[in-house]
Amino acid sequence: MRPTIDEQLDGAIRLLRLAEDIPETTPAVTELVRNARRLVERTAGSWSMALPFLQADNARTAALLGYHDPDSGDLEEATPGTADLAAAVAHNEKLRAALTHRIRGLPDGPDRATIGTHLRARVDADPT
Amino acid sequence: MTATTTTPATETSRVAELLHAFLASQPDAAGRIVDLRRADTGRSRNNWLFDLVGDGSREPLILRTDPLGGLIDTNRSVEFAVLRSLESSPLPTPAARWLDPNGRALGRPSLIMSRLPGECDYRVLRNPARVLDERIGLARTFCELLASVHDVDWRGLGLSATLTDPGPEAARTQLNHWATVLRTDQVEPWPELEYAIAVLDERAPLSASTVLVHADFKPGNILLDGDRVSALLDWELAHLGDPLEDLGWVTQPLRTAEHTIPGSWDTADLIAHYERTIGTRVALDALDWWVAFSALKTAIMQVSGLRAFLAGRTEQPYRPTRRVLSTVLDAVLEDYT
Repeated sequence: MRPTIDEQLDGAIRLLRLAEDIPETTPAVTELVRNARRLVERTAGSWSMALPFLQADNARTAALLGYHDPDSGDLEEATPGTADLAAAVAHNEKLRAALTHRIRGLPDGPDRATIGTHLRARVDADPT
Repeated sequence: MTATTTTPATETSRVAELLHAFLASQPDAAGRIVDLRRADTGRSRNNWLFDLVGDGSREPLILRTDPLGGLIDTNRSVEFAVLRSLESSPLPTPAARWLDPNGRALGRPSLIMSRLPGECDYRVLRNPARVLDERIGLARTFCELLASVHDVDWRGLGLSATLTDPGPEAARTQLNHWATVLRTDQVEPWPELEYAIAVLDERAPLSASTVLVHADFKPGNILLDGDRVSALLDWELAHLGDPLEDLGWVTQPLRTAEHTIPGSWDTADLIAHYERTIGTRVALDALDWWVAFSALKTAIMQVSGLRAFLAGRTEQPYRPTRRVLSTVLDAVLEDYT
């Protein structure tokens, strides 16, 4: 499948760089093009890693929330076995909302500290 | 602040037309609008420079208009009232001239203030065009300027008519304010920031005194005429609170490049010079809280910016960055190992 997704994104970055370097361009337009190029670069560098990251994060967050515990009654919240990016994003948002709710109800202590450690590791792992 | 850029003639004409009609309705604004141009490069700011030329007079002015979207949503009326009060203070601030509070005349809420001489250099402390001694001198001057903001007699200037004194609960007041901003502006859950809010809420220090807080003190908001400070600008976030809030903002790791000089002026030098200037010791435990809060505030501003970008209200693709999020969490993580 040519051009590949990466080739198309790399092509867009190259064209935007050319537009940025046109001397007659006003600073305002250059700023717009630069912002667009940075967005495309970020997408190019992360799109292929987004789904595996979300699947792993969903599994870790669900475990942190105890959703894999048969006694918790929350099995319906377990990570769906899907390769669909939109579904993984939606599920991730749902789990992160539940984690937010959990944080608000937790006092100072090891349980909350564990959530903090999880969130810090997630910041480093997030490819997007 | 004073750089200008080429702007489409139609946009300049539109602003000129609105400005002309607005100033014509002000009894003390006689004169012609001359040399109108957009300040700063790019489209992310809404500051316009112009001169008002009358019989034998020429007044340099700046029109500051609410952007459609950005990192922060502030009130031009409050900023105008603060600037007007500060005209009687020793601080180098621009004179507030005219206000369009609801944007009926100028399209968006706007204020017009005097334009002071000088140039802005965000990274002046690391600018190799200035010799090291000069940069260290500027670092000391900036520190003294911050102390002079905190020394302002805000009661005597009547600022309590505009700004609320939070009393000893300044830290929790600011934390609650920014937590509200987060929960209003977020387009997705942010457990990282909620975690920081929960920890900071438990550790919030009481403030020892209430002062005028600038809340965005940085070289980028200072105009320099040579090595002399000619203006301290951007009072849109100013409020009453704990002086350590400003000190936390300038000593936070995310701002190191703006406020320190490697090997010559580090955070400890800044704090020591501030202590010498104000004549009291800084409570370092409380300062740590404000440093962590500053990173959190930066992250929440990015959350607001993301919302504005997704809604098409700004061309700046803001988002909470890895650097900011990791700085926030590193400052608040609990250790139970």
